[in-house]
Parts: sequence; structure tokens; C-alpha cells
Amino acid sequence: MTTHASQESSPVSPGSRPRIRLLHLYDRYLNIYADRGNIQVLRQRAAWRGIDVDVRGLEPGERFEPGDFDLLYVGGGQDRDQQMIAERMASDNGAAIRAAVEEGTSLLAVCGGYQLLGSGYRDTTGAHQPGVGLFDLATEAGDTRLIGNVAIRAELPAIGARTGATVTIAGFENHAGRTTLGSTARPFGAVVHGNGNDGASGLEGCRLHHAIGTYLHGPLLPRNPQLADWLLAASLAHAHGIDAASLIDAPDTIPGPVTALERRALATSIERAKSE
Amino acid sequence: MLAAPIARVARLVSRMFGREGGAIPGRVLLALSPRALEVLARRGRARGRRIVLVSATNGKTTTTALLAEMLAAAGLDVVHNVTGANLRSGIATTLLQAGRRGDVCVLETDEATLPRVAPDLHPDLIVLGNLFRDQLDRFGELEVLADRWRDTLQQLDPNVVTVVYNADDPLIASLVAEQEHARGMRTLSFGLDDPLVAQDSLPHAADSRFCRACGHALEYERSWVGHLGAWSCPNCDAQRPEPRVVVERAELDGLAATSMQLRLDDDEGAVLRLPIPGLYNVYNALAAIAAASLLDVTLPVMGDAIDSAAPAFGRFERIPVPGPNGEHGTITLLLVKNPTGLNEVVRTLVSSGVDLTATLFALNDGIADGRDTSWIWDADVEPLLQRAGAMVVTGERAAEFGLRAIYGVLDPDGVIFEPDIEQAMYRVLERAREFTEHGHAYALVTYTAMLSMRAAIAAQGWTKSYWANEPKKRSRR
Repeated sequence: MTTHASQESSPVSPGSRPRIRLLHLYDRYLNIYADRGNIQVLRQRAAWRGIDVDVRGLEPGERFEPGDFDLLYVGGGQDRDQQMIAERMASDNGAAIRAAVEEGTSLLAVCGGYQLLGSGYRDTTGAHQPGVGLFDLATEAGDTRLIGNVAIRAELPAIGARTGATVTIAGFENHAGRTTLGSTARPFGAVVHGNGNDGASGLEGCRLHHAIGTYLHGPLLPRNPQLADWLLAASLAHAHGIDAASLIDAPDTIPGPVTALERRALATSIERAKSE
Repeated sequence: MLAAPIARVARLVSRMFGREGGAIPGRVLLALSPRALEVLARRGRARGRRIVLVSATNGKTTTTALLAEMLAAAGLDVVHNVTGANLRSGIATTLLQAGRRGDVCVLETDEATLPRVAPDLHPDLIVLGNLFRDQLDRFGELEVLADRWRDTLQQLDPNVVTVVYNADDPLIASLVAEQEHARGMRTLSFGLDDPLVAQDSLPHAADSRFCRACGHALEYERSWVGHLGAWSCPNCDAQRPEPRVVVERAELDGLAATSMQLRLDDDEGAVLRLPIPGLYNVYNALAAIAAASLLDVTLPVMGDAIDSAAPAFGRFERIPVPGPNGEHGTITLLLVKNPTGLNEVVRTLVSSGVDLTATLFALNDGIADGRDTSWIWDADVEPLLQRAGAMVVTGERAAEFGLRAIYGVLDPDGVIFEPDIEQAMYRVLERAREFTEHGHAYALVTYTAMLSMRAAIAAQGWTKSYWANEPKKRSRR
């Protein structure tokens, strides 16, 4: 079965609202660690700017067309769910994910979802979950779990006329996997406090074009609105052309109390990471 | 041969700490005598003292308290860890201080601790309530915990132990079925069977949705709390065992009580009144009733004991609060610690029809609260937010809940942000006085936030500090 959405990349026509097409891959299975919080944040921050986000899920057995979506989301699962999904995702949709990111679709993958976008995951028994091969990285289970608050410095590059920024991002990590980046991979950020990819390299996550994979949850986006807005800007650029990216920066659209709470949440998160 | 030195060590530790409860005496004892649990349990057994272990993600404190009440009402001398010290050290303290006393030991046991104490204690009964996704930063995922429970049962002697279990929890029922078939273990199942109080669908936070035997997605004819329900696997022959202790009708009377139509093993039946609200407490009562029935407590005795039960520490505990003009309001403390528990508190509050205008949420991220606060996003708090219209948010991670509320459904101006827990409590009581008819406030609190709020309540002298004996929950790591 193939999912279809009608719209190809096109400028926003006068009188109509911009629209982002979001695909949450295997949403019923990869949804641990409050993944739906990230989706809610994307949807609501877009709505505050007059932008619609259509969210679709994907079931095992379904395939999607690379051009049909502007933003892909891959969450983490409990062990059994993730095992079951790993093969389906790689065989049914691996090529579509790689092609989509190559042609500018944005993507956020968190924790287990991040691991599955590399070459695969080898657990402590030696069993191997196949990966999608989007990111040049490999993950093996370690003896201990890396758990705690974490803060990183990450570059969010410019998108068209929208300027880039280097920002502090904070979240919570909880993973047994040790992820090693290959020679062509660029990390998402540098660890300031916490473990990151492997607890040793000082690197966290991976970024390729507008695709980000990371171990940080919490969920990630409520306390890191700059990252949420960067993903939305990249998605707008994909949906409506590069100039549409700056639609996300419309002034005075975020309610004041939200901005205050975001600052506080991020500051506490960084404080926790620092003191652990 | 080892028993004599342990006896001396135990006497020494007893003398050191007197009647002090909590974790420390037990920790000292175990440091000096690592085999102390086994020896103390064996000595009790030699005098005819039985041991019951109660474990679950949610409800173990309430279940333990209800069971202890019923056994005491039946005239038994009951030893139990009243302090809620449910780790290995707390259990050692309880056994140490019981000395020679007791006909039966009812021990609330932390779910990750169960595998570390059950093989030493050789329990007569083990009560398995439920397994929900809890603080993942502590446990690792649910499946890992389930595997540890399986290994635990595997180590117990089927000629000694009987397993009382929740047939509606597919993960637990499957574990127990393995033991029944492979080793002839004796079991007693309990469950719900009232279609009128079933959930419309499985909540987002439902955890155990896959067959433990074959991995296929489970089907539910009905579900009641989280993933607890009448489940079956369409792919293999696994299905919910027929519950032998069953509530066929549960009528919720607001926040006051629940009336339960109970049936035991297809013959005896009765209608019992449980003065603690919420469908999840019906499960706790069922677990306690099933266990009590195996310890020869009669139905009338159980009914009387349950009827006079009081909420456990911070579980729908209503505290009277004097107002400035002599009028009286209340604050009700509702402990929340994981998505399913929070879902049930929300469901109980909303379905009770009470005025929720004065509501507070206190989120801390200590070890006893769960350091990872992401669980608040997996619970369905929207019905509560809608009914409340505004909410006082407090605690060390208040901002996280404020964002959760706004990204849910609350108007941004509806978040009343006050990180100091004591000040936040005054704010919500003020709201109760100003905007509600009867002055009732509701406080949803994580564990250490509850301790802070209790301290503030006690300092005001609003209630005799009968929880003064409750120790601070100590580090769980």
C-alpha cells in the first residue's frame, strides 16, 4: 500500500494558508519518551504563525513516496516494538527516507529512531537490527545505560535568507546504544554536559542536510523552541520554496507566557545537566 | 551455622536503632549480614509466620494497606512495612523490628526490588498487580522488568508459593501462565468484568500491546485501566485467563466511594463498598481480596475491613483547611508518578463531576519523582485542563508542565506559574475560596513535591501531623 498526499512543492498562493505535510513513521510503535509532545509543539508553533501542519501516521506494510511529505518524524520504541519495526522500515521505506532527505525534506529522529537511521543496531546478544542507512553511523549496545540530563552546542544552519545560529540545546538521554559516526557524518552538536553519542567522543547526534538524529528527548522540542522553528522553517522551504522559510519568524506570534516558560524550562534543563 | 552470628548482628542493630523505621537499620543489617533476609524469613516461618509480597507499578501501597486491614480484622497479628519503605533495606528493617512477632508479613515490594528479595524470602503468596511504563530512567524498559519477574518466579518453589495475579494485564498473565504450565505453580487470578465502566479505547500510554508468546498485536474486547482488559492474541491461543476473583459491577459514587459487586470463584458473591475513588482502586481492592481469600479471611470480614479503609499516604487524601473567616475548605492530595497513574487520577476527577476550578500540578524531578519528566506528555491531561480552565503549576520543573498544559489545550494565560510549592498551595486555596462553592482544591503532586506540600500543611497546623512517621523516600539507586 502506498500513501499519497496531493501537494508538490509550490509557492503559497494568495489567500491560502501555508501547509506542512508531516509523516510520523510507525506512530503506533515508535512513540516512547513523549514523542507526541514533539509533534504537538510543531503543530502548535506553526498554528500560531497561521501555518497548518497535517500529521499522518504510517502502519507496518505501508510505503510512502519521498515527495509527499515535508517533514518526517521517527521516534523511539520499547525493545520489542523497535525490533519489529526495524526490518519493516529498512526494507519498505529505507530508500524513500534517503531520497526524501536528499531532495530537501526535513527530518527529526529521536533516540531509537535515530539509531535505526544509521547502519543498524547490534544488541548485547549480537543480534542485529537493520538500519535505513541515511546517516553514516553505527550503533552497538554497551554494558550500561547512559542516563541523565544533557546539554549540547549545535549549529542550526541558514535556510535561504533565514540566518543560521549556534544554540544550546538540552534534553534527557537514556540509551544503552553507543553510536559511532562514520567519516562522512557530521554530528548534530558538541556535548557540553552529559554523554551524547557514546559517552566518549564528545559528539551528539548527526545532521545531514535538513535531517537531524539525536538521543535527546524530554521531549526535545518544548524546551528547545529554536530547534522546533528551524525544523518548521526547513519544512516550509520544502513545501513552498526557499523564501517561505522565514514565514516562521513572523514577529509577535508566540504568546508571552510561552516564551517565558520555554526560557525557564531550558535554563533548568541546562542547570540539571551541569550539576550531574 | 551462619544463623547464630546473624542473630547477634540483628540484636546489635536493633539496639542501635531502637524502633526507628525506614531504610537505614535494614541497610546496616544487610551490610553486616548479607544473608539476613533469608535467615529472618526462615526463622519466622519456623514459628508459622507467613510472608506475602505485593508488587505492581501502580497501587502497591493501597493494595498492601487494604490486605493488612483485612488480615488484622480477621484477628491475625500483621507485620507490614507501614512506612512504604519498599526496597530491600526497608524490607529488612520491617523483618528486623518484627522480631518474633506476627502471624503474617505483608510486604509492599518495589517492582525492581522484587527479584532481589523474593528468592531470599520464599514467600507463601506473591501478589502481582500490574506493570506499567514507569520512570524509565530508573528501570530500563518494561520488557526488561517483565523478564526479571519471570526469572524471579522461576526461582520460587511451586510447592511453597501461590501467585495471585491480575488476569487483565497481558504481560503478567502471560508470565504466570508460563509458570503454571511448565512447573505446576498454584495461582489465583483476579480481574474486572463490567462493560459499563470500560474505556472507549486504549489510551495513548497503553504499554503492553503485544503478545508475549508470539509478538503479535493483542486485541481487546474491552479495557478498563491503561492496557488492563479482556485481551486475546489473534495469532496464537494466548488470551486472558478467566478471572476467578472478579468485580462484575463497579459503581463510582463521585470521589466518595465505589460500590463493587464481587464474585469469588463462581459461587460466593457480595456487594462491597470501597471508600476510595477510582477504578484503579477497584483493581487494588481485588488484589487484596484475592490474597485475603487464600489466607482464610471470610467475605463479611473483608467487607467490613474495606468499608472502613482510609486512603493511603497522598492517594486522594482530603485535608481540611480553615479559611480566614472561619469557613472550611479542603485540599485533596493526589500522588502522580507515571502516565497511567496520571490518566486514572484525571479520569476519576473529571468523571466525578466535582468543581475543578482550583487545581494545582506540582512537578519535581528528584530520583523518587523520576528525573525524566517526559512522562507528563504521555498522559491524557487534556480533559482535566479543559474542565479546570486554569491551573497553578509549581515545583522544580513547573515550566515543563506549564508548556505541557499550553501545548495541550490550556490558554497561555491559564497557567498560573509559581515554582515555590508552599506559595503555590496558598494560590490554589485562594482560588478555591474565591471561585468555588465549597472551597475544595485539588493538588496533583509528584512524590517529593507531596512531601514539601505536607510539610507546609503541617507547619500551618491544619492537621495533626499523623504522617510524621512517614520517612522521606530515600535514594532509589
